[in-house]
Amino acid sequence: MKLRTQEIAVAGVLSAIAVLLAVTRLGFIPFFAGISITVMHVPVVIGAVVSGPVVGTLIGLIFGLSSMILASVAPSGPGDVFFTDPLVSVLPRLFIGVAAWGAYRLTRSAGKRGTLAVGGVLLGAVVLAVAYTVGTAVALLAGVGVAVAGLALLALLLRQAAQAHPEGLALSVAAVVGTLTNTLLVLSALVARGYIPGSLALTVGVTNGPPEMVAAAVITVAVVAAWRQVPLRSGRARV
Amino acid sequence: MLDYLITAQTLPGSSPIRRLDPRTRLLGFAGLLVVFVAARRPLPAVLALTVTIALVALARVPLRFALGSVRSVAPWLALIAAVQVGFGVGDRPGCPPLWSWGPSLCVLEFALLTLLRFLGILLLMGLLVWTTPIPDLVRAIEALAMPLDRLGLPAHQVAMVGVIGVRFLPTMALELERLRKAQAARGGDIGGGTGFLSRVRRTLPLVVPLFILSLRRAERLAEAMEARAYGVGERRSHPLGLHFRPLDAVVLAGLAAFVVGMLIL
Repeated sequence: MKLRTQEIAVAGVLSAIAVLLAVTRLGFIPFFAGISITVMHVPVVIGAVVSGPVVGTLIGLIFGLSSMILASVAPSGPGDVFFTDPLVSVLPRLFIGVAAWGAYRLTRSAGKRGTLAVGGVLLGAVVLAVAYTVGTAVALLAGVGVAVAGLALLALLLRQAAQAHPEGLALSVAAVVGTLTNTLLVLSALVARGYIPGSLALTVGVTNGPPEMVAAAVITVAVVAAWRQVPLRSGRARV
Repeated sequence: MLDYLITAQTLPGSSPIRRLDPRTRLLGFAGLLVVFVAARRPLPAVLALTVTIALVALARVPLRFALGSVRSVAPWLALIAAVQVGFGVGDRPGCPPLWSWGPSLCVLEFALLTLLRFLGILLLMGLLVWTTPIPDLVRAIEALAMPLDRLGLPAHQVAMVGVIGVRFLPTMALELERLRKAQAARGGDIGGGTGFLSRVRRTLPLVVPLFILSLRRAERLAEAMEARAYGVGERRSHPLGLHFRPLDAVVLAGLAAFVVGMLIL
């Protein structure tokens, strides 16, 4: 296997962006109650969509390595300590690119209705399965409530994207699947390594997961649409 | 901030560790990392931590520096240990409790292991970053990946991705600074809306041009590389060679024996 020069260049430069988002805190968006959500994995999704799964995986690798190095050299919170373990910080990130790319290709060939139906069912199944395996009764109820609200917001966004352009839908789905891969695998790794209890992971997953998916989708659609000059309906300048 | 992170992390000065080949340092780092990650009981982690501390001392890293990095995470380590003990993470049925009440020995053992593991990885990572500049590291990775190249894996090209990433980090940081000022000068899309979606949209005037500029840069970079015949020859050479000396072999053999011993333990 040999990479094209173009692929090497895109992977390299987008890796730099991934590190930059982490270092400058630009990759964190304040949510509520002092919780920030992260969009640091978005370069991986964009690289995968623009240049294919190999580039996505490479950016994921460097993103993972950089989060491991940053977590140990310049830690900024208790959670950072866990990310010094490469099984938490590097391994899960290798799969974001492949997942996002696969979702993008599938959505483009499946069309609007098929994607919305399959995607909705799959997302619901994932949320329920996670809630069922790790949840206590209270966590389960709260988790399902928050997840349903998040998913409703997500569905609204996907509908908007689909109305604007079929490409918008495919990009949003790629971002959502990429984010889901990141969140699920990192949290699973944390639980599997015994660093945090399952109920805590569930809480983090349902509060951070849906907003992260939405944010990643908004940014991915905006960037790739601008790059490929896809005429989205909402693509007017706002400045 | 960026300068600090990229260059100033490597401390000036010389030490026995620094005279080792970067490949040796990287392999040693990887070996000790494996011990910390794979340790299932506290004993291998304690021994590996001892070796790491000895290496930090050998590297003549100022005590203030090493302690500073530990001190900054100490409260979080304590918090993590408290959470783990509180939730009983790592408990097994039939594990005897410490006294007649309280957390079981398994839980305490696991919390101790986690603590040691993170302390070790922190110091180890610090040791690598403090003594080895990133270009040296990338060179070492490239050299070590050579055998994979022969198997048909693009190891050399993966290293190239790393080189480009490191090279473009300051460039993109400058670009970001310029974008910030440009958007501020235009009045930007800063105010308006406190909802979550509008907060996300507010990052777009910065993030979208940042990505577009970087993708454009990547295209130009690919052209420039191909214009200089990148990827035409069989293998690229380097102006500066790495020197593997007898001392490197001794250190590597010692560390390898230690790692294997710890994994068996």
